[in-house]
Amino acid sequence: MTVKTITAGSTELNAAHKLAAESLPSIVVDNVSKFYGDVLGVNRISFSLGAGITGLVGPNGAGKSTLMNLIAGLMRPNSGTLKVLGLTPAQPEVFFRQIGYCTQYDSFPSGVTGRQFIQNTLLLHGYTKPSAARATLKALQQVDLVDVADRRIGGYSKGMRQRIKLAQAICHEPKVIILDEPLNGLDPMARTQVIALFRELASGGASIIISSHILHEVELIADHLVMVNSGYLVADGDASGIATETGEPMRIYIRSHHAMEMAPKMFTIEDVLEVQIHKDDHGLFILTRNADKFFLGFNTLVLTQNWQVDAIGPADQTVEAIYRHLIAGEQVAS
Amino acid sequence: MNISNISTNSNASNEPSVKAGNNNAALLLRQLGAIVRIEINNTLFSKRSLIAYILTLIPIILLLSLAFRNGDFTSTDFSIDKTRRIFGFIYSGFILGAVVFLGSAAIFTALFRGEILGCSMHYYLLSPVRRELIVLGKFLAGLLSAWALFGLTTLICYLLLYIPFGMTQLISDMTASIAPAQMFTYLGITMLGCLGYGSLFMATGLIFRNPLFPVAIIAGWEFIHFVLPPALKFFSVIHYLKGLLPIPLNNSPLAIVVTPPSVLVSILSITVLALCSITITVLYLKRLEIRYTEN
Repeated sequence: MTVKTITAGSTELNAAHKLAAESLPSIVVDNVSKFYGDVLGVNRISFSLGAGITGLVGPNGAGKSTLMNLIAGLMRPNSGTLKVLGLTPAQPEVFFRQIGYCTQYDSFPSGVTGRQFIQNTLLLHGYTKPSAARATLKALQQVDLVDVADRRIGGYSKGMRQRIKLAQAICHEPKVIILDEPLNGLDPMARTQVIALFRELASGGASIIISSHILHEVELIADHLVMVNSGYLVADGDASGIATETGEPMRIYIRSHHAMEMAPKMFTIEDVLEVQIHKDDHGLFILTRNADKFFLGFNTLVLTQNWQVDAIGPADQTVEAIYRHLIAGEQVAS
Repeated sequence: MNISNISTNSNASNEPSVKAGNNNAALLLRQLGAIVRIEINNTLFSKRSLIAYILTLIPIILLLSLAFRNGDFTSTDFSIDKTRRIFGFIYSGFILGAVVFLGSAAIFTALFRGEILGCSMHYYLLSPVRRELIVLGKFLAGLLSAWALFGLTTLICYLLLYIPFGMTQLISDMTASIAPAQMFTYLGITMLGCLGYGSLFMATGLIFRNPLFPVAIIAGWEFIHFVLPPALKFFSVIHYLKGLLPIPLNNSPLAIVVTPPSVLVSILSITVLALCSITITVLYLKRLEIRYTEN
């Protein structure tokens, strides 16, 4: 598909571009390998991502940062291709306008204040001074650092440095945001704020990739998962889909005052392994090998039995369970 | 998918507009201006500028101490002509050979290596700026800083010559055009030296993890240039610079003497060297991958 000549101010063409962007994956990784001499970084990785938040999960040395550096154009693959919104880093003046990358490196240009750091980034993007000042203020407000903006970054706490890096990554309103361990060093309040910011950016149509070691945070934030281990792609999809594919049993919690009535009928649904009743008799814990089949079967039962369901959702940390199954298990085996 | 032309300013009127293959000049100039400003700040107003400042001050302090140490300025052995000749030696041996050379090494190798060692190079590489523009911006910033520091040193040192001879001599030489002609020739040589050495050291700073070794090798090559055979002299920056000196200097007994290149040849040769070095730097930067742990 070719999208040609989209110019500023052309509503129809901008709409066409938006439509094209929405219907196509933002990031396409096709059979990508990266080696550091004889050492494997990542090997033959392929996936594609659209808008929303993707969690990149894997143990230390799995290849998460390599993969992020490759997508962000800081490294070139030995083989395979990577495209972000159809662009490659060979066109830096266009490519890097679409990308914001908060790296793992806790380093900054020497002697700059938080405001100068963001402003310089925007000036490099080609913003005029007044518009750079406005966009800087907006980015600082988004990460709640306006009060300390004129202090040197050297005097910032770890959490503040993490947030100023985040502001630098989002200040130019990129369509693809890559965040390497963005929650490191943040206190619980800041984490909550930053997670809310990620959701806001994703709801605005941005594609966000977040790597984290903290699995329950990934679970909380991500709509989609990419799991890597020892340089290989282990799983790619939404958590329940991966769980189903891997055969890892999933625990589901149902809240209903029909719980006691529901319990025996749950075993009529295929792949249900276990049913537990909540101590208040108004809830059920279902252990199933196939979440999709369970939800389908359960919906049918709800309609035929005329049950009222107050809430339904995963009962345990699904990502952690999948991680244990796919990665920790493999490491123990090896 | 081929997105041949993208505009990012559909929503915000102040955002920069980019058209692939047809970058608008205003945007490029703004980006170049931003790089030059950031880099001049780093070069002149940060810790890494200390070496350049010290080198700038050394010849000034040295000439000041010499001017006030010798008391018998009325001696017939001590004339302004002889002093100008001595200055020629000091300039070519010390200001050009040490201050401009080492100062350029300090300023220009740090343009890229300083960023890589400080783990901040990725901020440049993640910016939507053509790599050619990053190199050009950094080089211009280094060049302007070097010209400011070492050009000023050259001018001050030349004027310090006149301390023993007083204002009358200075005014007389200035009006007779002897002093301005010599002073601006020295200044021109300094600027040309910064251009040649600077471009070479910028490339060195990007290509080599430890630029000290290549700088030492270049220093050695420049130091022995006078004994090099004529064919090899052409690969020495100092050969072109010394040919421009306003006062012919005595050659060492070991020197292999060749006709000094003309002013035009000297300027062209150093400009070609600078263009080659900048091109190599651009090509290298385009291939650069960030792995700070290796550095």
